[in-house]
Amino acid sequence: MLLLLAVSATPAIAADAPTDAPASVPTHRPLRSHGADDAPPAPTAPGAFKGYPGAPAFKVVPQKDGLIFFPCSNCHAAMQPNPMPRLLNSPHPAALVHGADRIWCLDCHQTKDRDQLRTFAGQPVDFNDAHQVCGQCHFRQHKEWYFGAHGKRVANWKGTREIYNCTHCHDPHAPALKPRAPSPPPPVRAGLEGQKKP
Amino acid sequence: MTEPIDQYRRRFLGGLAKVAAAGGAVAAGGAAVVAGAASGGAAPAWGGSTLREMLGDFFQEQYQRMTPEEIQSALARIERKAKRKFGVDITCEDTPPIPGVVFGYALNISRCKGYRDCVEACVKENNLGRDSQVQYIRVLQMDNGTMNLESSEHYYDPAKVPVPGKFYMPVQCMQCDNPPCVKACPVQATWREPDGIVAIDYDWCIGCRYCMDACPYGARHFNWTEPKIPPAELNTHTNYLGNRPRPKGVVEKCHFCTQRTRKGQQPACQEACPTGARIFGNLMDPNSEIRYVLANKKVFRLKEDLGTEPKFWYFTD
Repeated sequence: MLLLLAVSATPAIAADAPTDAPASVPTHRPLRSHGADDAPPAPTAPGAFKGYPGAPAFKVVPQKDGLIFFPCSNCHAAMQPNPMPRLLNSPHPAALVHGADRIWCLDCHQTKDRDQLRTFAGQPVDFNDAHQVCGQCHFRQHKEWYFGAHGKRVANWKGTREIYNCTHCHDPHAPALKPRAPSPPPPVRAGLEGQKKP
Repeated sequence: MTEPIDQYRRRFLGGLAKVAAAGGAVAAGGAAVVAGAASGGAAPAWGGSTLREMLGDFFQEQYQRMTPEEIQSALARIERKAKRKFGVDITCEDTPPIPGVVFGYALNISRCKGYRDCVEACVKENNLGRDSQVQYIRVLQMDNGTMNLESSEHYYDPAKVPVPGKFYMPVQCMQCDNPPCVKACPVQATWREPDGIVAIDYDWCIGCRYCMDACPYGARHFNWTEPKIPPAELNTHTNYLGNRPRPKGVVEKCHFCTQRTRKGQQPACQEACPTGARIFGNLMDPNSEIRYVLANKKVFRLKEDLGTEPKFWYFTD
């Protein structure tokens, strides 16, 4: 320790002497370079999400044709839009479990064109591209879905990648999967009944 | 120059048997008809098989040593046997591994809810007995925060799953890259295929069950009985190294649905999973989903410290 003190004391003494180096030369390398390359991109108008770079190409299984009441304009074309948040009657879901009262219908559904969904920025989104609406909040799951760690690929592991949309598995109005009964347990082989735990 | 003599004992005996069968087939067929008529449908000789069929079974080679013609005749024999036994026309194929493909599996245990739909699909796809305990997938119910396999429960049957405080971990054959079962087999009835699948030649297996003892995952199962399957539910699309009807007294296990995956399809368990917890793909393809999971998620392998190099990863969100 004494030796260390002695070593560290030496430059302090030397610093009193005048040095040749000009004052402008930095003694440390800067922590980060803030060159022109690091400038943030110029802000652009909000547009539809174009996907993640490097994500493998995919096709979303279309779902629109399977919706019972679609197109919504069958009824809504003749109705005046009412932007007041309120509880709706059938055929709409009686309660919106999703979002704990922070969102309501017209945050995801277009007010003018009911056959379209919308982003928070107001961009129209087709029902078959519903993942773009979900991905605004659930961006982590959305990214993993793009790359294949979330969601489900159907039919094949090879060739065209066809994946389910968010809304195939999650009810958009009550997204959590509900507990249900499991398939029957494996049969216990004769003579091994005692091993079955209560 | 004389033709090289085939000094291989089994092939030589098989050739002798063919000659004998050609002579004996007429007599044997006649005898079977007579016996059937006399006893009113009692079990005919050689388990309902002709002499030629029985000798064909007896002299059948190990899969890896079979010539293409021998494989074709073995496949045809399997189809004929299934027709006799179940009354159903099945197709048995020998799909070769795809070059440049090594299969891998990843399973998200934070998403598995223990519905056991994968088990049901596997039983149907792989022609497993409906009442036997041979099920390739075992879904373990475990206490949250523990990893003790001995205290896990796979007979769980609550009214609703997932049970709060529990998590579910399906275990099946890990298709190890360094498989202890292959080393344990005394007759080389099991081996690792080029696409990473650890295959079994059910006709070569002697049922000694050493491999079951060697497997640290309990993935291998011995069928004590002929699988009981309603003929209408039989999966007629079969593969030699996959889900073809197996004889009694051999060891079988998950084979990543060779009959499907070697043709580009997903395995039956992946297709049945309602939560998307299962991810199957080609480990050699850097753009595959499984490679993304391995590179970006927290993955672990079961009993990795044993050095078996499983190709089955578990991961969490």
